[in-house]
Amino acid sequence: MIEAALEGLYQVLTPNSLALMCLGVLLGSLVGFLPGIGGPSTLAIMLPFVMTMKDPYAVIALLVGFDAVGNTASAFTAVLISVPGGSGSQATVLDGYPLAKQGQAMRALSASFFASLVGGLIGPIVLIASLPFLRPMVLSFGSPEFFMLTFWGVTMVGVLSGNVPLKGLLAGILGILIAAVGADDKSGIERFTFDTAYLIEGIDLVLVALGVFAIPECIDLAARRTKVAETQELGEGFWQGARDVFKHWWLTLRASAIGIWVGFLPGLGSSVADWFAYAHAVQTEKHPENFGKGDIRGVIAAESSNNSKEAGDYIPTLAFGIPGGTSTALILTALIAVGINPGPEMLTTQLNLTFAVVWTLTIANIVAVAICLAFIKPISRMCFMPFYSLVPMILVFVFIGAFAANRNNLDLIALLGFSFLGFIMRRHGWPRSPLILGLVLGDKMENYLWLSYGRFGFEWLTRPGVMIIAALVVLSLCYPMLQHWRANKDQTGQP
Amino acid sequence: MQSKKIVHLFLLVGQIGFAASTSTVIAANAPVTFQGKTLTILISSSPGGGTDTAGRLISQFLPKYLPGNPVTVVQNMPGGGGTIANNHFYANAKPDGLTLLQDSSSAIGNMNRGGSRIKYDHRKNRAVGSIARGGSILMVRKELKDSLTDVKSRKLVVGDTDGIRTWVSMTVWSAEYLNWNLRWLYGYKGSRELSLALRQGEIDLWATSNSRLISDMRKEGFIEMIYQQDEERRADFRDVPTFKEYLGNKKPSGVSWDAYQAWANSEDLDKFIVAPPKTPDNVVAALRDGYMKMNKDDEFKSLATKFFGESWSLSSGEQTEALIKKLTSIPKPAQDFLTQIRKKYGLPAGGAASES
Repeated sequence: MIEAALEGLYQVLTPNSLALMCLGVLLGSLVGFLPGIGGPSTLAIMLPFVMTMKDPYAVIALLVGFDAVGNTASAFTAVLISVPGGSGSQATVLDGYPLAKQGQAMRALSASFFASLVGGLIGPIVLIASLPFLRPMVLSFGSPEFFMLTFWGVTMVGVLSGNVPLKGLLAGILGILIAAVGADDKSGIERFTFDTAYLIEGIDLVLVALGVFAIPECIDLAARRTKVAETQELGEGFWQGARDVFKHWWLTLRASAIGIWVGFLPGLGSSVADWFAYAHAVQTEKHPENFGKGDIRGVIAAESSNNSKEAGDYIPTLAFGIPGGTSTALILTALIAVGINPGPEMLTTQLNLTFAVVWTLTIANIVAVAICLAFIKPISRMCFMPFYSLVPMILVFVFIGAFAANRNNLDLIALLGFSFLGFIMRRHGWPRSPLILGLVLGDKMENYLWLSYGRFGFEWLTRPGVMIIAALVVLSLCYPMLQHWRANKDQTGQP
Repeated sequence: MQSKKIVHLFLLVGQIGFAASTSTVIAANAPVTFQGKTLTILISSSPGGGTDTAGRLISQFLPKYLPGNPVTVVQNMPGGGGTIANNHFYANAKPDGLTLLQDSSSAIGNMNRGGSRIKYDHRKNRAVGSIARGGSILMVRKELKDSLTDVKSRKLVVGDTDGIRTWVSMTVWSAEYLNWNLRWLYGYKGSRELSLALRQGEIDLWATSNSRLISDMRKEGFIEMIYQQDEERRADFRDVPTFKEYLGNKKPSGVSWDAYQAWANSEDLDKFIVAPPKTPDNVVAALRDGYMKMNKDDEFKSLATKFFGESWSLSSGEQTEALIKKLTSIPKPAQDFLTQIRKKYGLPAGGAASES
């Protein structure tokens, strides 16, 4: 095993591989920085060029390097202009943007990048440590267990609703209803499609996230005729952000673990990790009332999880040749083109290639964080730009992002519709995060419930995995109440 | 005087008509070149799947064999099982050979089922060629092979995405004519979820044409292969009988077999590429010629084998066009039989469908 690890490292550190990895990291960071320009689309463009390459290590360096870092740079726009750079950084907006408004953009970004670094380093370590258990771990999750996990996610709507639980619940239900739009995979029956081909595939999460979060903030900026930061100084938050991550090391570790967990379960999808980690932070940390108002712990939880998730994604890809997401599906295609056969051999005869992936994930994360930190000061100044310069720029980014994925004009109309919805929700104090969470989990929940019941009847409720997760759900719901009760008891106990 | 004017008018119209027809003939006979032009290949699925892989592979090699070697741009337009891309292509693509659609046989199934959102007609498109990956192979969990006909044990579960894939036809006909004790569970998102479910024992039977997945599971030792879908055995799975061989003297005939073939045979079409209706014959001929020349390219063949296994094959535009025509003209009795047998086994009823 050590020989394979050294061989993998040696191959990753050859000048050719290193140069390609840096190119991948630069491209990945750029794509992460630009809102809505998805990693999968860029990987698809790169694929024909990569197919002509002969060296498997070069392909791993370029593509894994690209894929590993997309969620790092995406924090820039999430924090500075409330536009999630990618589907993995939506929860970052919740506390990152309020921090930017308070003049703490540098601190938020610095914390975000250091948290990303920790998440990005822990991910590969766990990947190596779990090699002997990969297969039994992945095989222990069937449809009933996946349903319980999505159900657990939906219970988090409460913690994302702040002090307006009813509005949060209704927003969550609206999200689940939006997720129901489109042709039902099972029966082919179309729901709320109004006989249009556009709605058959359902509504794109990126469109909703851009519309609900980004445009209402633009309207707010333009209406207030001001800049994002409400202070005059950028602040010396760089080291403060780093200190924040290490001060909240236990949260960083937990959020990273959640990211890996979500990544390695091939049924949950890439956009769930940051939400799960964020909700976990709100549920378990002291003084949860500060979340959503510019609490650095919200940024740390979201950003450490979305980077560790990338390593988790490779677990089913390498162990079974089953890609964890669209990006890993494209990388899998490229790996096959250069003669690598992902599957059981990756854990035996091709272990050196597995280690090459692990090393690339590690080194690429370090390089990406270094690049982001180098640009943190000039880019942070964006939040001091006057609204008449910033708002048009954001609008251009948002509309390009919405159009780029499918190049369909109707996406722009849908974007406007969700922008209006987001504007109304913001104006009337409706929490917007539960809507996104409902949308992310709605169709998965329905699908896994259908499969669980279809296969096992009501017996699925008696599976050990289901019961364990159910207990965790109850615990996670009771824990904040217990904390609240303890706090009250302490207060009343004080003289 | 008046009659002279009319004659002149007719002559003029005649001259214009002759000139127009002559120029068309000249255009039709002129050597086709794509030099300095951009060839757009629209892919009717999202990046990462089989249709996308086929489209990107072809986008890399086809320009090499087209006169003038055009620059190629690939564009994914997913949605509606290919309907969005098909509608867009059918309505907007100019018949100049510079826009092609990489599609999959599921679009034929959708067209057969019909409905107001289907605004394309593949019979009018000009087929350039198709790539078929070899028939699906039905696998069963090893410990359950003997329970297939055991009515006393629980019904074995066949897993699928939507219950209408072409290979599902084999399991339905097995239940009908070989008395297999089966039920169908559909709703899985795709191959990755299905292969996991088979490994976990959540489903008991599943079929795929993906040779890599089949080989992996075979090496893991928990499956047995029962039969395969093609008329002839796949080169990479010669030890597995075809469905027809497996049925032996229990193979039905008449309308039942017509219905089976209508459902099962669109796998032959698999991933096909078309130019829009009314694309001139000489342009179509150049595209078809380039498509088939890929078959002699060693690098193309090597990559295709890596992606699709050893059983892939290219079909010419003419063969593809004939197959599309055949698959879109299902006799009414066969269509009715299909609907009835699907209803009988609790599968989504409707028109003939196909692999996606």
